[in-house]
Amino acid sequence: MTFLKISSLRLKYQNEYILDQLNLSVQKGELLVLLGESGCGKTSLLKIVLGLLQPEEGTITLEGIPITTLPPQKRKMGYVPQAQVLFPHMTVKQNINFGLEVHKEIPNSQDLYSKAIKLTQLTSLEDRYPAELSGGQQQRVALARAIAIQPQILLLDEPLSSIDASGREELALTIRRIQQETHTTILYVTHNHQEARLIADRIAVIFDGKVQQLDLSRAVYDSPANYTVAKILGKENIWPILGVENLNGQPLITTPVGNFPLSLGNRSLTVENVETFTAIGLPVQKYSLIKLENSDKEPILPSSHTNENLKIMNLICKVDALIEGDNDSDKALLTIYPRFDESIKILVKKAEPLDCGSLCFFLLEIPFEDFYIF
Amino acid sequence: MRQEKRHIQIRDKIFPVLIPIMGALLVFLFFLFLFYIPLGKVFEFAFWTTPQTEDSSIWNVLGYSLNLRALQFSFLEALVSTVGCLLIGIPIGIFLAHYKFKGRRAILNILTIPFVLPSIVVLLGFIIVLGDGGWINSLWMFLSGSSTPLFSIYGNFMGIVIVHIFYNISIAVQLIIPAWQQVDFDMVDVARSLGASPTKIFFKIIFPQIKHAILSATLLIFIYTFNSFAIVLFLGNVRLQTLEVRIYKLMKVGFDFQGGAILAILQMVINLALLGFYSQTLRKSRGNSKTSTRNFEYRTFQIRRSRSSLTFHTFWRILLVIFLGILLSFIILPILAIFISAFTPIAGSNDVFYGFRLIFSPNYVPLLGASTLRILWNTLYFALLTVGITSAICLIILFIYRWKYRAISQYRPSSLESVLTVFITLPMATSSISLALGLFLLFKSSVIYFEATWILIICAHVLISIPFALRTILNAYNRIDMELINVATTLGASNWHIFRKIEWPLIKRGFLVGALFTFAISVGEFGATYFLARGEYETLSVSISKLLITRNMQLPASMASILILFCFLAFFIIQKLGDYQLKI
Repeated sequence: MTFLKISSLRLKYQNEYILDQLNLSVQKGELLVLLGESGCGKTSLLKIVLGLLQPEEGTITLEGIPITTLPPQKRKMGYVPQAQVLFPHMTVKQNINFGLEVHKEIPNSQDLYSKAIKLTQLTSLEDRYPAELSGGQQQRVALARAIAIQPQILLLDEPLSSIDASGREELALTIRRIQQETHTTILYVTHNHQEARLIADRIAVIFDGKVQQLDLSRAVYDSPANYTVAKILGKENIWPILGVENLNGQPLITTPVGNFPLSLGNRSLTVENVETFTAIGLPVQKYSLIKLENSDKEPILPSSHTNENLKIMNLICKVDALIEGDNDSDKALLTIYPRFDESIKILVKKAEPLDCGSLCFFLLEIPFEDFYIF
Repeated sequence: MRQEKRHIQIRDKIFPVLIPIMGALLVFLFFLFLFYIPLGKVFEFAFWTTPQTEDSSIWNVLGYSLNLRALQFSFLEALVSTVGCLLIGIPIGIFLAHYKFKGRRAILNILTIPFVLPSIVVLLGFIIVLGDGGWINSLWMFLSGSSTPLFSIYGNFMGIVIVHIFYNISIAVQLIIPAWQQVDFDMVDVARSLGASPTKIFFKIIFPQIKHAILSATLLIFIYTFNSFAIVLFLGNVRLQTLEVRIYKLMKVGFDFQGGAILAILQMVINLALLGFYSQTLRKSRGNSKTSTRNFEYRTFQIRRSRSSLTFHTFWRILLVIFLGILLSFIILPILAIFISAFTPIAGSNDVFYGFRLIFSPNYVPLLGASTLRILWNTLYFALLTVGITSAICLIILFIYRWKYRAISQYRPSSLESVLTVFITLPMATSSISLALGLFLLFKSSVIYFEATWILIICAHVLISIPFALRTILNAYNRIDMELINVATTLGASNWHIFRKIEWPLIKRGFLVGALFTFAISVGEFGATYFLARGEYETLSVSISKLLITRNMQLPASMASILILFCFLAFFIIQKLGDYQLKI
C-alpha cells in the first residue's frame, strides 16, 4: 500500500531544475533509501517532503491526503539532519521533550519520552548537554527527538555521514532495529551505496533530477538499470559503448577496452538495439589475468582474439596498485593500454604475483556472458 | 477550545507576516525622519540654497584653501597614523597570536583599553602626560631649568599622529590575531619540507593568507582617523584640522551652513567609498578560510639562552618584549595619569577628593551650563534611552532579517534584507558631526532644538550606535545553525515558539553585548553631542572638553575618572559575557 506518494515533482535552483518530474512511492512500514551522488537533489527532495522547501510543481500525498502546501509544523514528520543538530542550550532530556511539549495533543508524553530514550539507549545521558556527548550519541539524541513525537514518517538525511567509522555501523543497526520494532516508515537519504545496502528494504537511485531505478535492495544491486545507476552503486569496470563497427561483415561494439563481436554471449544485444545501449560492465571476480612475459622482452603489439566463451585480450598493462584481500580475493588495479594513445583503469582478480609499478603483458580472459550491458 | 485553536492559527499565520512589515515600517520611518530627511536638508543647503555669500558657492567652497588644506590634512594624517598603527600593531598582533604566556590575556585587555574609552578621555590623558605643562615637559623644565617645554603636542602634526596611533592600535592587533591563527601551518610545513627559506615562506605562504586582514585593519584605521574630531579639535590649529573639525568650525563658528553642508557631503562620499572597499575586503578575508583541519597551536614563549650566547631568534624576541613593555606603559600611563591627577590633593591638604568637590560645587555651573550632578544624570539618562531605542530597533531589524529563512525556503535571495542593508549602510558612512549637522539643519528653527535638544542628542547617539550594536547581534544570530530552526519546525513549533525557545536563548548574549557597546558609545560620545548640546543638556564628555580650557587638569581628570569607570564597567561585563568582539 502506497503511504507517501510523490508525483511529477519539479524544483528549480539557480535557473536549473535539480528535481525534474520526479515520481516516488513509499510503502507503509518500509525503509526506503534514496541513493544518489552529492548535489543530486536528494536533500532538497527530503526538505520538500518535510515542507521546508516549496516545489515549483508536483504533488505529495500522505495516505492519499494531499500535503504539498501543508506547513511543516502540521505534517508531523520526524527529521534527523546530516550534522548533529541538537539545541545546544538544552539537555538531552529537554531536546527530546521539545517536540512533545509543542504537541500538547499527544497523550502520555512521559511514556513516549521513556520509550524513545530506551529505544536509543540514552537512559544514562539524559542530563547531559550536547557538547558533552560524542558524535554518535548526539545523533542518537536527534533520532530520539524525532521518534518521540511518533511521526507518520521519519526522514533521515545522511545521518551517519558525520560520525566516525566505528560508530557508523552501530548507529545504522540501531536505526534498522528501531524501524523494525516500531514499524515506522523511513525515508533515508545517503550517497553511500554500502550504507544503503546495509540498511534498505528498497533503494531508489536518483540522478539527473529523476528516480532512475526503484527496487528491492538486492534487485538493484544485481541488475542496475543503467550505466549511471551502476556507477552510483559503486560497480567497477564500467565503460561506455562508443559505437558499432563492421569488421568483415561481423558487427563489433566498440568500447575503450576493445571491440566485442555481437555474436557472442549476451542475448539481449542485437544489431537493431545496440544503439540503445550505452555502457558495458565487467564484474571483477569473473575474469583473470595471465602474465605473458616481462617488459624487457620484445614488446608485443596489443591484439585481441575471441572464441565462443572467452574474450582474450593481449594487452600492455601497468600495475598501479595491489589490493590485498584474503588469498582468493587479491585484486590489482591496472592501467591497460588497448591502443598506444589510450589508457583505462581496470580492477582485476590477481592470479599470480605482481609487482606494483611494473609494466607487463597480460592475457586477459573474460567470460563474455558475464558482461553487463546497459 | 476550538476558538482558542483558531485564534492560535490566525496568530501563527498573521504574525510572521505582520511583525516584519510593521517593524520594517517603523525602522523605515525612524531612518527617514531622523536620517534621510536631515540628509536631504544637508543636500538642500549644499546645492539648492542661494549662496549666503559669494564664497559659499560649491566651487568656491571646494576650492577654498582652508578647506583644501583640511582635506589634504585628513588624508595625510590618516595615512601616517594608519602606517604607524600597522607598523607597531602587526608585529605585536603576530607575537600575541603566536605565543602563549602568562599575562597574555592581560596584555590584550590593556591594548584594548584606549579603544573602549571616549576620545576626549584619551586626549586628556595625553595632555596630562605630554602637554605643555604635562608631566614629561615639567620634568624636563625642572631638570634643565628651562622655562620652555621640550616639545608641544599642540599644533604639532606628530602629536596628533601619536595620539591617533595610541587610540587605534588595538584595531590592528585585534584583526591580525585571528588572521594569524587562521594561517594554514600545514602549508608552511610543506613549504619548509620543499626547502623554502623563512623569508620566502613568509611572503609566498603566510602573507597571502593574512593580507586581507591587514587590508581590513588598514581601511578601518584610516576611516577612524580620517573622521577624527575631538583629538584634532583640541590639538590642531587652523593649519591642522580634519574635514570633520572644519565642518564643525564652519557651522558653529563661521555660521557658514552651506560650506559645512558641502564639505559634509564630500566627506560622506569619501567615507562611502572607503566603507565599500572595507566591506569588500572583509568578505574576502572571511572567504579566505582555513583549508586545513589542524587546530592552531600556541607556542610557549620563553627566552632561551644557548650555551655561549643568545641566539638570533632570542635577540629579536627580547627586543619585542621590550617594545611591548614600552607600548604598554605608553598606554597605561595616560589612563593612570588621569586617576593620579584626579586624586592628587592640592598642596598643603590631604583631601584626595578635592577635584571632585570642586566639580560638584556650584562654582562651575556657569562654565558647564549645568551642575555636575545634572550632567552625570544627563549622561546616564541619554545612554539608557539610547540603549533602549537602539535595542528595540535592532530587535525589529532582527525580525526582518529572520525573513530571509522564508526566502531561503524558496531558494530565493531575500529582497527585504537587501533593501534593509542598503538602507542602513548610509548612516554608517556618515560621521557623527555630519549626523548632528543634518539634525541641526532640520530642527534649528524648531522648538525641539531650543527646548528639548536632548531628543536630538539621543537620536544622534542611536544613529551612531546602531551599526555597532546590529553587527554584534547579527553576528550572534548568523551563528545559529539553520537546521536547528528546520528541526524545530518539523517538531511542530510555531514561529514565535522557535524564536522564544531556540533563537533568543542563543542570541541573548550577543544582544546584551550589543546593548553594552551602545551604552559605552553613548556615554562617551563627543562629536555629535558637542555639536548639538545646548543649555542644561550637557554630558560628561562635553563637560570634560569645557574643563580643559581651565588649564587645571585636576577638574577634567576628576570628571574623566567617572567616565572611565562607566566604560570599564561596561567593558568588564562584556568580557565576562565571553562573547566580546571589538566594535569593529
